[in-house]
Amino acid sequence: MQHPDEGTIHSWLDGALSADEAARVEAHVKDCPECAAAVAEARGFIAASSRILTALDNAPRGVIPATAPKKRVDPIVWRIAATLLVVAGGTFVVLRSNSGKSTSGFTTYETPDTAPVPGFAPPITIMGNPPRAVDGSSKSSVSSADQNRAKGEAADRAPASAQRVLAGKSIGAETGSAATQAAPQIAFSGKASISPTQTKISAPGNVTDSAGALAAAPTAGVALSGAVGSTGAPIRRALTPAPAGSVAALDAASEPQALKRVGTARQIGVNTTLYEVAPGDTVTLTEIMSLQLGAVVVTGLPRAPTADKSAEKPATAQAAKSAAAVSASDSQGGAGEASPAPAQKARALTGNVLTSKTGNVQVSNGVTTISWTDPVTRNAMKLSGRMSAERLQQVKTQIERERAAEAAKKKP
Amino acid sequence: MTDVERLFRTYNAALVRYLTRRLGDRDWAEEVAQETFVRALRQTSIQNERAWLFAVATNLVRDEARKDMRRRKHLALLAEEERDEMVEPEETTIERAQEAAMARKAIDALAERDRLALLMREEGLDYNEIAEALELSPGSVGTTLSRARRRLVESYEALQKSREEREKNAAS
Repeated sequence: MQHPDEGTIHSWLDGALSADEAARVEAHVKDCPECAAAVAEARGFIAASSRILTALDNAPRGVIPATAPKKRVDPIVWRIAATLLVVAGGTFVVLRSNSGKSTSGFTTYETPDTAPVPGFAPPITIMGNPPRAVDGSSKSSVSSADQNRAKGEAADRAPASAQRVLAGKSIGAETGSAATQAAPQIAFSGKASISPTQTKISAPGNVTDSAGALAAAPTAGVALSGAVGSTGAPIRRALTPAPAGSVAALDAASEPQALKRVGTARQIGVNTTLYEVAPGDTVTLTEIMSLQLGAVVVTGLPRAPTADKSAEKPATAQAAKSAAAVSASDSQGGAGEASPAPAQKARALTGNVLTSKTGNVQVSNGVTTISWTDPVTRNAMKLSGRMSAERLQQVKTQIERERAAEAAKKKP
Repeated sequence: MTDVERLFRTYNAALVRYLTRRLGDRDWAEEVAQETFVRALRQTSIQNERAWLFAVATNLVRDEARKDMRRRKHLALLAEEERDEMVEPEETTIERAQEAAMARKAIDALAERDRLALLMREEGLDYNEIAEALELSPGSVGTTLSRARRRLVESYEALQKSREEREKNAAS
């Protein structure tokens, strides 16, 4: 027999040759040192390539999403932006009506703290508690870099007319989260619009626009009266809501520090949301949906009676992922008896438990990751961010609260 | 109807691993695998299940690759998010990350057919299944695999060598 070629040697080692061919190769290799060496080399290549390929298994998730994440502005952002527009416009209208020099370029505005607005309910005074600017002057506490950054962010996410308001707000609000930091934002939206030093934002043209847009605003039910000393003294705001139409503003105001959702990437089975808790300070919430194809397949096909038992336990079956889900239900189907704790089941059904137990905390390279299982949906949750575990826990609680609120809105 | 549940149990792990190695992204791999099983649902009968599944998955990836423009947009978006995020994959040591990067480079250096044949073989497909999935003649699979393995190992070793040299230079 002539020397087998490399392909034949690999075929032989892979067991792909017929019995006759394999016997011939084997006999030849035994007597041919050259081919024996080639076989040894081929074995080496087979083992080494397997080993090399194993290194590829540690692939990251979410490098390339398969579905197009549409850069869609969250409805809540629109709602809050609209609220801010109304509030800022209301401020302007009130300031205008209270100031004799409203048309002279916003040089000085002196407005009584609690200027009563005729026809409105008694003012509810909210002490603005903005992170930095409370004790600073209107200008010195805001770096120009912050301004640009905040403006850029706001411009990306806000609709045309609301942009101006948001941009103004962001300059003042050090934490910068676009439309969700209600109390400080409201305070600063007023301030930025009227501050004589923020010329870019409060250019007369812009304000005129706002005023135009807000011509009908008083009926919208929110008016904000503010006092800004021309020296940049501490700011106090009186928010005067009308009985109707201002619930959103009040809701927003009562939330101390809401989170801004800056990005989502939806894929089958995984939902990734990026929240900004402060400028440049983001956390990533990864929700691994428990409803996978495996679960669908498990529950979607006609099954033997024992298998039906396992289908009654979707919460457990769905908690596991992909193949794991299937194999888990498999073993449960076989065991037949294993069922989730009744209490757990009841909780999942009623959905009363909105705050899950504290999960695992991991810290690596300065990134803290908390993992837990959502008690209602049974989804595997993961929250990561460059911050302390305590802070991340706070953010987690906040996210859970917001998610619960969202869920409640969806299912009234 | 095809028994998709059984197919899923039998082949999902191998298919996801094959696709993960092929694509370098586990999420994407899982999604393609799921789409493959969804397509299997629509089949009344499948002759050689494993070859069919791997062939369909491979074609899905190929179709996806045609939508390159779309992907580029995603990458731009993700890169933007990544800058803020910068979350390291769990339990990834530098050493392992380097190995994975070299392995990725080495596998990417192979011709597409060699790469797919090798990845399929690693998931246990026999020569006939590989031939069917890739529309090759069964007789050429051995040659394809031997070439793929040799090239993979050689390019990986070359990468390893140059890394070692770099490290040596950096140390001295």
